[in-house]
Amino acid sequence: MHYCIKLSGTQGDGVDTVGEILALALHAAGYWVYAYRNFSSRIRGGYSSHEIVIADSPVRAKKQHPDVLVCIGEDGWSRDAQTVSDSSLVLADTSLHLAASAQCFSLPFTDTARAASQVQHKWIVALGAVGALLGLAESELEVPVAAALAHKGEGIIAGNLRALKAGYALAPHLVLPLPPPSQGTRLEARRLVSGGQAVAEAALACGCDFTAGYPISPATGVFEHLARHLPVGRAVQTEDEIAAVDMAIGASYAGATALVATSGPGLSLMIEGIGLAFATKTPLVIVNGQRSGPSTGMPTKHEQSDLALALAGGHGDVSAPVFCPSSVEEIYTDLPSAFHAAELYRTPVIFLTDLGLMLARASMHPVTIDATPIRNAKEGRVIPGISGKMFHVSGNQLGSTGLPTEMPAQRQAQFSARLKMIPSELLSSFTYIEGGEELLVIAIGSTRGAVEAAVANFPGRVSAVFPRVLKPFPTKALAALLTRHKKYLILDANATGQLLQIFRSHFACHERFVSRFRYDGEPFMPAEVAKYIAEVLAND
Amino acid sequence: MTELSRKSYDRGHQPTWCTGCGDYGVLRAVQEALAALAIPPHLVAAVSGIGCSGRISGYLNAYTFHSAHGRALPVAEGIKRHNPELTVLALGGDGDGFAIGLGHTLHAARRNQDITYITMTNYLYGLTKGQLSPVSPQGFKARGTPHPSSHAGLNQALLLLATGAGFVAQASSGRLLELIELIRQGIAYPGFAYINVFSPCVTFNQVHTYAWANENLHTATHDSTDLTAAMVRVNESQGLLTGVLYRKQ
Repeated sequence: MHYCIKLSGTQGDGVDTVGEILALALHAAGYWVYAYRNFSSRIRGGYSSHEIVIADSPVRAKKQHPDVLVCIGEDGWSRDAQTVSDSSLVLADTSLHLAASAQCFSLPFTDTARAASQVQHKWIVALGAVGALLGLAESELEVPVAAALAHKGEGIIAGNLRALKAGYALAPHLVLPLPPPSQGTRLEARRLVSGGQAVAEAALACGCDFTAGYPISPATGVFEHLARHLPVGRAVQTEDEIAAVDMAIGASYAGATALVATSGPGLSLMIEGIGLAFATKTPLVIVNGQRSGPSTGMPTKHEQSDLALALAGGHGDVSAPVFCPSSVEEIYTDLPSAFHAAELYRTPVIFLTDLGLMLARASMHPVTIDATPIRNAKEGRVIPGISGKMFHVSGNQLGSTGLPTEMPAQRQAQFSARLKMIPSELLSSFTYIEGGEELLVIAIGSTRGAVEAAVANFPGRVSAVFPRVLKPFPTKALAALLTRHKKYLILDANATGQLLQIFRSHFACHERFVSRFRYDGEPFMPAEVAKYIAEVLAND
Repeated sequence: MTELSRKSYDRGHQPTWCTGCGDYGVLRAVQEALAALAIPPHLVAAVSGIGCSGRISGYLNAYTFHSAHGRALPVAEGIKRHNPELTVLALGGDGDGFAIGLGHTLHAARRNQDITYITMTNYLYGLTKGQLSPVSPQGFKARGTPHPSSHAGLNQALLLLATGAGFVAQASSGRLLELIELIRQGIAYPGFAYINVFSPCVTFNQVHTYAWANENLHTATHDSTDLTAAMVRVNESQGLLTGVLYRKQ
């Protein structure tokens, strides 16, 4: 089972809230859920959609065509009419005046909302209709609706519940009942979390006690979550990302376990501070949620185009490790590794995620975090306040006296020693999905969801690997893996092949690399990846 | 515990500054003020920016952090927020705090952490051999800039008064006793304290010399608890006042 329900409409009209509620309800009903938000860079108006993929096993990718498309308003229909396939079911508000057919049903969401409570509840009416369609009990939606609107007061909740009921009554003839989730799945303890939420939760579990930040999609949620949980004064909204990273450097120098979260434009500004942290041996985790660039690009759209910046990491030989998780689970497992590396090697660490990973919510098994290694690595770090241990740190090259030096031999010795503090390869540097030796698909971040779904179509022929550490690049570990496969398909969610360039710079067999790019703001889709795999296999 | 003196805060390194540089006076005054307040060196964190003045942190015996250009304040604020028990100083030049770091200066002041920020103002960039600074007055000719400045110079104290900073003072590096006392008061003040020190560059600035300071800087006589009076006087005098300019009650 693998269904996609797509809610498509106008930003600020409630489509996003209703998407969240539906995802939560389906997750609570025992299904594996993947919910992807697509929204415009404006407060109200413009296109907004929420795609909810439901399956009976873990799912981390969108579908090319929705099984059910629910549309209210021109913004949604004009954009998503083209995504409909022959087998899609369309539920459209009557205001769109679509011709009814076996697949297309014109339903009065807006008028029903007006009659039942108020016009603003039209998406709740649609939610009721979808609930009826999928065979969800009314109570399964009433509970999350009331919870989502709890802060709005009894009157608003009551109005919405009337709208929900009216939605259920709207289309009794429409039925697309979901098979019940398997009993085992239903009973498992699972959570529905976004990558941003995972970053914040994992950070707190790691002992993170300081953050500073500047609002930026898709990282704002991390700061907001941390600000809700850290004591007042320990999550500071600064004048810019330069101040944010430097304030975190100061806090870490004083002993804090510090993290900053940002996105491309903010990473550009933080690069200076990353160099300072590297030079001063100050531990710090910098989370970057990649989005469409350069400059402001498409600020609410997905891309993976900060690899070059993250790996270069600043002027001079900054050698800050770069971690690159490819699932919400790996955020929980690898953020502790990032904090640990930061403390152990006294260095800034870049934790490179992407918009798809940060904003999409996915059902997952909880991952337990043990912060003991991080605490142990912090032991012995001299921090201000300890008597008799005063020392000087500097962005300048320091010599053996602890003051700036420009003596050639001292510089070379001291800086070599600095670089050697970071090992040439780290552990758990990639995730390998073994399938076959004809082709190895290589991708990072949230692209993994589409790749895993696609390679399942080629049993025994195609494997996939998702690097979790990009710097220091796991050359030895990956070389052993690459030799086992005939060809490599690299998926770059950017225009210039940044991931391809990394691999080419480490491996000589350039003729064995094939790459595909996507930089239209949308993530790779499973069917698209399957098509690329088939093309490469056919050309063999 | 041994008695704390100026020497307790001296790391014993010979500064790289030119003979006669105003920054010697600031270093000495910071050490004397810390001794007067009997703050143990290990409970002092001093963060500096970049430029000749940025070297000052290396000469202080304390936990010292020589940060990036213009970034002393956010680093200092992070230290203070994590460990409020520390006495935290931020130090830098007029270019550091009012060109590249101006945003941090104004926002650190309004966030009002208990930090003492000391700028060493010499009206130019010394380490890069004499370019205009953001406080260079209009018409000022710097060695490294071909034409006299056509830009207005910033009035540092007036800007800081506008942020709501609770303690704003100015002093001359050449008048050590007054400088020590103002830094002492600034450190003791429970909130963001700003002390601007006229600190001559004896190599590149033949205008803003010790003699210039003696002739042009006047002791503030207004009621220093009156913000409006302070702003009026600091504006009228183009900032050429010394003493406590404002202290919030």
